[in-house]
Amino acid sequence: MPDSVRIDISSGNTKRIGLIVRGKMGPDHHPDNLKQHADCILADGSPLGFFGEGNDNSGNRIGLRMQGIVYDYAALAKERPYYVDMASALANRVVSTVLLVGVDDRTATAFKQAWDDMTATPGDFNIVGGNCASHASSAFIRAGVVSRQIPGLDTPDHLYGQLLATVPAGRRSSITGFIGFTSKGSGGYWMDVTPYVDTPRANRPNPGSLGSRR
Amino acid sequence: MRRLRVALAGILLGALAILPATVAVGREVIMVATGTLELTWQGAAGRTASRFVIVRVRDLSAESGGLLGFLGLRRPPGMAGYMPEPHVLEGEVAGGDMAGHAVRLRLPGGETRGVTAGDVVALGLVDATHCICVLRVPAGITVEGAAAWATGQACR
Repeated sequence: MPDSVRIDISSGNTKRIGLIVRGKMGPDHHPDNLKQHADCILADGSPLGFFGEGNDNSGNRIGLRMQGIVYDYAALAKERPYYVDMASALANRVVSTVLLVGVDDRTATAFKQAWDDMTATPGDFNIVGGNCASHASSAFIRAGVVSRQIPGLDTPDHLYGQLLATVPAGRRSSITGFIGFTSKGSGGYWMDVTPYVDTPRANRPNPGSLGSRR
Repeated sequence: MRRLRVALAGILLGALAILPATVAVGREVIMVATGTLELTWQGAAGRTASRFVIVRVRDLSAESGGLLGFLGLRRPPGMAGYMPEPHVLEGEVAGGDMAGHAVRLRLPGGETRGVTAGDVVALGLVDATHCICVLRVPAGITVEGAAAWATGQACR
């Protein structure tokens, strides 16, 4: 197992925001549609994402008309600890691929504002067209990183592909592994990663063991 | 008319009396309504267990997922109730004031810590229904001493 690395998302004049695709075993792996999830990283390193909760209408069980909610670090630590705690990610074999995008101050601020607004008024969660990727996409659009909605189905992997196609290679970087976040104490988070290297013969961790390649 | 209203009120009160208590007060009385203590697993998130329930494990196995699971339609990661490789622990409270009650806990596969049927475990609770750790009680520890032993262990 490779050593873990600690990444300062933004330092000095360099600001970055990020997309995390859960269940994506590497830049070239394309997980099944129902075995992936999108979270984002604000410029201060804070992880957060959009989820479906509640059981107030029919169809909830299959992901329709659920109550949407934004989980910040504190909520993720309770509800999805394997998304923010590297030891838990390792224990539960949860691999993520992170795309970090270099941005200016205004873009970073607009991205945070989009998530603040979603936190205040999350609206519904629908598995098709109103899911985690749809909401992450809307934040990237509000920030001006991309100008259009996700091409094709709203999936985290498609959003990842759209960002790759839109952001110049010199302004982005990708890393895959078991991900965690550690508070800096003075505000913001470091991202901790134990790298994971996918190979065609790998016994892939969960989720995404049936993920296809293309 | 008044007689009709009184009769209707009587019928309504009678119906309320026989409805499961869960309708009125939520998850905390699920045990009263069903006889099973239904626990929900959560990450510790910096919290410590406020008490430990000592349970003899009857079964701990991967969740089948029912018909949707059979069809490969498990909950996607963005939906409530998702967890990686979900397992179900079933057992019976081994001591204390809840002795004999059935217990059911759904938890991620990575948190089962090698527990198998027949083991005695200490479930660390942060409130009436949320469990943040499963500790396997060593063979040398009695059921009576298990909760005290558990308080000295890392529960996260």
